[in-house]
Order: sequence, then C-alpha cells, then structure tokens
Amino acid sequence: MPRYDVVIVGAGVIGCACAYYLARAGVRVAVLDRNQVNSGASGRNAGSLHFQLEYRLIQNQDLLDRQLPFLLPLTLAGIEQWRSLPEELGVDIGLKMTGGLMVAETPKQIALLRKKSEIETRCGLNVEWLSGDEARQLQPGLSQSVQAALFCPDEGHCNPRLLTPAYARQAEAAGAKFLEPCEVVDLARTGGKWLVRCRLVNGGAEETIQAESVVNASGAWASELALKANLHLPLFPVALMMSVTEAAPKVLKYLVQHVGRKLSLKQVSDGNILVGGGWSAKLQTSAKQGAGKPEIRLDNLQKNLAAACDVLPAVRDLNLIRTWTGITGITLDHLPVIGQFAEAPGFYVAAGGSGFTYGPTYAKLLSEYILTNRQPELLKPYSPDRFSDLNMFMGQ
Amino acid sequence: MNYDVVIVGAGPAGIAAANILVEQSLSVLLIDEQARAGGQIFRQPPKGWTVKNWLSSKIYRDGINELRKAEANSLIRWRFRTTVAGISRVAGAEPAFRVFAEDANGVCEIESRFLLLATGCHDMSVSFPGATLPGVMMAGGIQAFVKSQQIVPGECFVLVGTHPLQIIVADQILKAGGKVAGVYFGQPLSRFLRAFKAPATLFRFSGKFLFFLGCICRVLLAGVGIHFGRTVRRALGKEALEQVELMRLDSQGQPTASATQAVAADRLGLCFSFIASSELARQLGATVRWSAPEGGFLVEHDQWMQSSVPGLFVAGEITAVAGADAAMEEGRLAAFGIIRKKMGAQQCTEFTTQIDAVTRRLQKHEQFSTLLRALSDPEDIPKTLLKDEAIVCKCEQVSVGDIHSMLTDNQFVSTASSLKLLTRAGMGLCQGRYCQHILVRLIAEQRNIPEQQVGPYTAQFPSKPLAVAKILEWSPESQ
Ligand SMILES: Cc1cc2nc3c(=O)[nH]c(=O)nc-3n(C[C@H](O)[C@H](O)[C@H](O)COP(=O)(O)OP(=O)(O)OC[C@H]3O[C@@H](n4cnc5c(N)ncnc54)[C@H](O)[C@@H]3O)c2cc1C
Ligand SMILES: Cc1cc2nc3c(=O)[nH]c(=O)nc-3n(C[C@H](O)[C@H](O)[C@H](O)COP(=O)(O)OP(=O)(O)OC[C@H]3O[C@@H](n4cnc5c(N)ncnc54)[C@H](O)[C@@H]3O)c2cc1C
Repeated sequence: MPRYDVVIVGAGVIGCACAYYLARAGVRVAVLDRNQVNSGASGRNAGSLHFQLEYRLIQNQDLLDRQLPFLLPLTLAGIEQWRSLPEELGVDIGLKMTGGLMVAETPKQIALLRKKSEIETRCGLNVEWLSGDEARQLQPGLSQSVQAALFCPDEGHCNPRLLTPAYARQAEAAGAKFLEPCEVVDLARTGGKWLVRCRLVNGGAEETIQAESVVNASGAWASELALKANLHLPLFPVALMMSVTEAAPKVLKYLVQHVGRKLSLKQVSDGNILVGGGWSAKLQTSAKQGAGKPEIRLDNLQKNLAAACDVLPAVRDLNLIRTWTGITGITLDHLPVIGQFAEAPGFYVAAGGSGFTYGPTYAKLLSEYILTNRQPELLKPYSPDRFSDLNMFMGQ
Repeated sequence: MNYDVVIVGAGPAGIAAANILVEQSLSVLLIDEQARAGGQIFRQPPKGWTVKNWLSSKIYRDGINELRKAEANSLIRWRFRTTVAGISRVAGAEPAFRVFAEDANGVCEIESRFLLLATGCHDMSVSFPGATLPGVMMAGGIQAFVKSQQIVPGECFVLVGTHPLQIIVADQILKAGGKVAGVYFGQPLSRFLRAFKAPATLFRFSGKFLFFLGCICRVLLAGVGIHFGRTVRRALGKEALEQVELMRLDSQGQPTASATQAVAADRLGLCFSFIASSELARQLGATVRWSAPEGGFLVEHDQWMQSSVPGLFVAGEITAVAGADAAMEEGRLAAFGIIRKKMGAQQCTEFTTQIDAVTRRLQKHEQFSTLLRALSDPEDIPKTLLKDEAIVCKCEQVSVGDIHSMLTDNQFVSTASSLKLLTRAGMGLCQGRYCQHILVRLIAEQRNIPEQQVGPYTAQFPSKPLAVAKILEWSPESQ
C-alpha cells in the first residue's frame, strides 16, 4: 500500500499550492484529482485579485465586526505573497498588480462606496477616492456614467490558466507526487492513520493509499468529500459564468469592479477583455458528482455584458468569443473554511472564500498548520469548528 | 417561435430529413449560415446568378432533385444566413431545446421539441512550416469560390493532399479558367490501385467511378501532372506564397532522403481529409467517439440516429464522413426516428418498407465510403508534416514546439481541454475547430494513450464569434 505523509484531494490552486509548500518542507505529499490539474474553479475563474472589502462585508455589520481584526493582516499577507510569487515560482503567471478601481454610477452606490472607503481607511487598507473625472483620467475609456471610484493600488489580476500549473510544476520538482486521475470513493481513519480509497478514472481500478493527514482541497465538492470522512461541511456549489471578447487594442490598465452591480473587467496581455462579476449559470443536479457542465443562462449573460458596456462602452463594439462556466463553493457566512476538524484529527480542509485571490495564502497558512500542528492566528475565524454543532454525531 | 423539429444544416442530410418530416405534418425549421440550401456539396450560386453547367454530372442528380423538392415545399420554413451559436436543453418540459441563433439583424431564440444536427464537416487543416502564409488555402475554400460563383481565387494553384477530391477541385479550377501547376498525393499510386481489388464495389458505383475518371482525364489532358508519394514540406514566400517545396514520402508516409523540389505557385490548396463539425452536439453533451479516418470526434447515435442526448438526432458527416449519398439516407433515417419518437413505434408500421429501403441503401453507400476512406486516409502524413516551428493553432499562434515542451514540462496534463487551458491553443476565433485534431494526436502520441481518452476540447458557447451589441439588443422571452 502506498504511504504518504499527506494526501491532498483536489488539484486546484489550493491543492497544488499546499502540495508545493508542504513538499518544499520535506513532507511526502501525493495530490489526486478525478480530473486534470486546474480543471476546476481555479482554471475557470476571473483571475481578479481583489483586496478591497467585499460587498457583503459592508452590508453585514456583525460579520464585519468579527472580521475586521483579521482582515487587514490577511490582506497584507496576501499582497506581499503575490508580489513575490512570480519570482518564487520562476515563471510568468500573468500577474499584474497595477491597481483596481471599484466604480459607482448612482447616488446610492456612491453612498455605499463612501461607507466602504471609510471602513477601509480606518482599518488601514490603501484606498484612494476618485471623482468620476479623476477615474476617467486614470482609466480612459470609462463611461460618463461613472460618478466615483475607489482605487486600490495593490489590486490587479493574475492569469488563472498559469498560476495553478506553475504551483503544480514546482510541487512536483520539490518531490510531490501527482497521481493518475482518480476519484476518492472512501475515507476512513484506523489506528491513527487515514486510508484513502480511490478509483482510477481510466480503467476503474481501485487502490488504497495510507496517509498521516488528508487535505480536503476539493473546492465546490468539499462537502461531498467531507461526508466520505463522516463529516458535515456546509459548503454549497454555485455555478458562475465568465466571458471573453476577441482581442482588442489595449484599453484597460486596471481591474475594474462595481460597487452596486455584478461586474469585473480586465484586459489580458493578449488583448482579450474578460467579463465576469458573479452572474450565475444553472447548476445541473448531477454537478454533485462533479459531472454535468452548468448551463449558460443567456439572460444573465446579457445582464453581465450590459453592465460591462455601461462602464466600458468599447466592449459594445467587440465580438464575444467564449462564455464558460465554473463551480465554486460558498458557505452561509461567505467566509472560507480552513483548518482541522476537531472530530477527525488529521483531516484538514481549505475551501470557499475568494479562493483565487487568497488561495496561495490559505494554502501557505494551512501548510504551516500541518507542519507545526498549531493553528496559525490568521486562520482562527475560518476554522471548521464553527460548524461543530453539525458534527456532534459525526466524525472519526 | 416553436417548432416540432429544428434542423441545423441545410446540406443533403438536413434537406432529406425535412422532406420526410413535413410530409408527416411536423413543423420544421431549417437553419443554415449559408445564403442558400445545398450544404457543402450542392453549394449553389447566389440567387439570381447562373453558373454554366452547375454540377451537371449525373452523380449529383439524386441530390439535386432532393434539394429542388425541398426548396419547392412551402411547408418547410427556412432561415438562411443564420448561425446557431448555442443550444440548450429545456429540462422536463416540452419544447425540449432552445436554439440560440444569430443573423444580420441580431440574435433570437427558437424553441423546438426535437433537434436534428446535420452540420456536416470541414476540411482537415494541417500544419507545416509556412502554412500560415497568405495563399495557403483549404481545397474546400477554393472550391467554394469556384463552384458557386466561378471565381478563381488566384493565378496558379498547387494541390496537395491525400483525398481524390483534389482531382475534382483541379478540374473545377481548370474549367473556371484557372491554372494548376500540379496535383500531389502523399500516398503511393499503389494505394489507389487497391480499389481494383474491390471490383464489385467499383461496379456498383460505376457512375461515380466514371465521373472521377473523367476528371482525371481532363486534368491530364490539360497538361497537369498528377503525382504520388509526394507532399508539401514547406510553403515559401516573403509576404505571401511564392513557392511550394515538396518532398518525397515512402509507402509508409515517411519522408525519404531524396532531394526536395520547389514549384512556383501563388495558391496552395490542401486536401487531406475532413473533420466532422460536431461542436454543437458536444455543446449539448452528446457522447462522441474518435475515429481519425472517419473525421475525428464523431457523434454517437442509435439505430434511429438519436444521440446520447434524448431528442437530439444527428445525421450526415457529423456521424462519420461518408459523402452526400450516405448523408441523405441518414437524414431520412433520422426523420423516421423523430417521427417514431413523436408518434410511438406502433403508429409507424406504415413506414417499415421505406425504412428498410433507406437502411439498405445506407449499407450500400457505406461500402463506397469504406473504400474511399481506405484509399484516401492520410494516416500519419499530417504528423509527418509537423515541424517544431509549424503553427498548430493559427488563431493564437501556438507552435508544435510549444505543445511539445508544454507536455514535457507539465506531465500532469493529458487531455485536449487542459492543454488548451495551458497553451491557449484552441481559444481563438475558430474555437479550436481547426487545431483540435492535431493537438489530440500530439497528446495521444506523447502520452501514449488513445485519442478517445485525450478527448475533444470542451465545446463552448458561442460556436462562432457573436457581436456583443447583438446580445444586448436581444429581448429574451424569459424576462
Ligand atoms: C467563474 C468564477 C469566477 C471566479 N472569480 C474569482 C476571482 O476573480 N477572484 C477570486 O479570488 N476568486 C474567484 N473565484 C473563486 C475561485 O476560483 C475559487 O475559490 C478557487 O479557485 C478555489 O480553488 P480550489 O483549489 O479550492 O478548487 P478547484 O479549483 O475547484 O479544485 C478542486 C478540485 O477538486 C477535485 N475534486 C473534487 N472532489 C474530488 C474527489 N472526490 N476526488 C478527486 N478529486 C476531486 C476537482 O476535480 C477539482 O479539480 C471564481 C470562481 C468562479 C467559478
Ligand atoms: C470541401 C468539401 C468538398 C466536398 N466534396 C464532396 C464531393 O465532391 N462529393 C461528396 O460526396 N462529398 C463531398 N464532400 C463531403 C460533403 O460534406 C458531403 O457530401 C455532404 O455535403 C454532407 O452533407 P451534410 O448534410 O452532412 O453536411 P453539409 O453539406 O456540410 O451541410 C452542413 C450545413 O450545416 C451548416 N452549418 C454548420 N454549422 C452551422 C451552424 N452552427 N449554424 C448554422 N449552420 C451551420 C453549414 O453551413 C452547411 O451548409 C465535401 C466536403 C467538403 C468539406
């Protein structure tokens, strides 16, 4: 029976980054996925690095109060990590941290943006208030409807096509083993060890792997995997859409987001403009088993494109070349779940949240946790313990 | 708008199906992005134009009759110059499909109970150094100009490939007043002579055979050389094609050491084989199987031409490239399949003799297409042409060398979709239509796994680029 120190389930950004940080520290790691590396949300997302406070945090005072003490250190850790990533990974990952704008078009949105700017300034985040004209001066091409914007110089984007494979290559170079595509069918803990039963996708042969610890990095499907270890994890899949236009002359220097509408805009180095922002696709019921591509909702696509054209009119003259979908996981409080389950020693999870922006940070912190067996301070608010009521009759 | 059946593709398969479906009082809409019906083979001149001797050979007679019958049938609804960008399923309820289509005026949604995809095939693109020079074309592209409008798109043509179609194209170029510097087959002449080992098939299809011999004679009489065991090595030219460099191949399709030869030409037509246009079916999640000689990833179907997606029928080249006659029979079979599904098997006994006849003719045509494939399969030649500097994905300028090194550096990648994500190959305007089959073969070879396991690119919406402005102007019924 193959034996590893850590088996990581899921080869998205979190799984591959974890593999890298652990393997680099000398841990024997295996990564397994039922699909290809980077085929989940990590390779399908918008690639926005958003460090400004998110909409839901501004709206929910209670959540905000609980979060604020942790948010700034986490954000700063994230920004610092991103700045050093291209060098650390040794390849071009399409990272652009030239700044991000969050725009407002109506008085109500301006008020919301004001409130946000106040909170952010209070907690020490680097944001700058811009009038509509100032915003247009900074980012020509923005529409006249933009009346104000917040600028955060640390924001930007990274290419989701490149980040996770770069981590995977470095992890492999550091000794991590990427197994043939296989699906975890069962998880059990006996004699202080984890037994991971998996089935090869091609051929169907089954094999059991032994590990000291298991990392559940299976993204939107993390609750399914947790259940295999007899644990409840209230994380729900949501299907989102992303669109890309044909290559256009360079117009966008910054990441553009909207405070009152679902919108994210950026231009990649090849000239294509990426349009996203969290418009939903229709989840297929079979998505629970990881199959079944979500169905594009054309009405939502239209709304997404309308928001894009309202903010950046140049988009109207372009051709859409592709719309795709991805599935990501959210929790009830919208916070990620990161840490070890009290009910199942050695079973770790990192899922949910803005997993691209913070994926490298979540992974690094979780690796630290596994290596030292001590929960890092920054992970405290995200522990799966907050769902322990659900697991009173569960566990290993 | 709501139909019993929407048919995408007004080629032989689509029109043959429509003719039967409307007879049984089903409402039918035929959609095609071309300006007129006929598909790839019966590409018609624009309305109001006359082209002398347009497809006058007897071998086209049945198909053209079918075409005229459909055009004269007022029960069939048509939408030309309309591209189907995407299709979605309506779960549970009738109608079962929603077709999202684009024309010059904008986009619209059409609902239909059943869907028949008869989207045909396109030329197989091959990559070699210089293949992206202006002047290098697909034989089908040349044919599109010549056949329907008698426009000769160039001065002097060289044709290279493995498919006998290139003789027909040469003949058509000559008839339209163009010049052909040579026709080059990659396979040895002996491959073609194998046809005589199947004299019964030749006899049964003597009409086609004689037509083809006629083309050969006219091409030879015009002083055009037909060569075997030779193929393109490089396309040369400063701004555009000036010369075609040819190399000799042995009987296995491998380059030999003998000297290359350069032929002056401003147009190179490539005619290796065909690739099934299965992307709309794949968008809907239909199961496909890989078969290189039959056209890459082909849509699987049952005996009634229904795909793995209930209600989605397929016919023609997207199920296996087999020519116009087989496409028509498959269209008919699909029509009966739809009727059967709509009315129930018991109600369909009256069609038994018709269906039997269709099945018999289909089997007969399959003999021919099997023979043709055996003669014309490019086998490994497309791979032989690949040099590291050759461009695989023309849209995104990804080279063979890029693909090789990406596969070497990323051992965990073994599907076409994940290599696409890593390299951008297949992410351009053509949605990977042209590079998919090469990339799939490259992965299969380097990883030593079957092409079926490599799989196709995930087919995404829209199937062809779609103006953002048109999407904005659309008023969805669901709103
Ligand atoms: C359209 C879209 C846009 C987004 N935009 C942004 C953005 O701009 N910024 C941002 O910060 N975040 C964004 N996100 C969120 C972000 O993409 C995710 O949070 C992040 O990628 C999650 O990474 P992951 O490694 O946890 O999951 P994934 O990348 O989904 O990886 C999980 C992997 O686990 C595998 N797996 C699951 N179950 C099993 C099993 N039982 N056995 C074997 N393998 C299994 C899956 O096959 C998959 O490969 C977006 C998400 C989507 C869908
Ligand atoms: C260049 C070329 C030359 C050929 N020459 C011959 C020949 O000489 N003899 C022979 O027997 N066979 C020939 N063939 C094979 C030919 O494909 C078949 O004979 C026949 O045309 C197949 O019929 P079909 O109905 O399957 O598809 P097609 O005739 O190809 O019809 C498919 C139709 O679907 C339409 N379509 C596809 N996608 C969309 C979309 N998304 N939206 C709207 N419309 C769409 C296309 O415009 C096309 O009109 C040739 C093929 C090619 C590519």
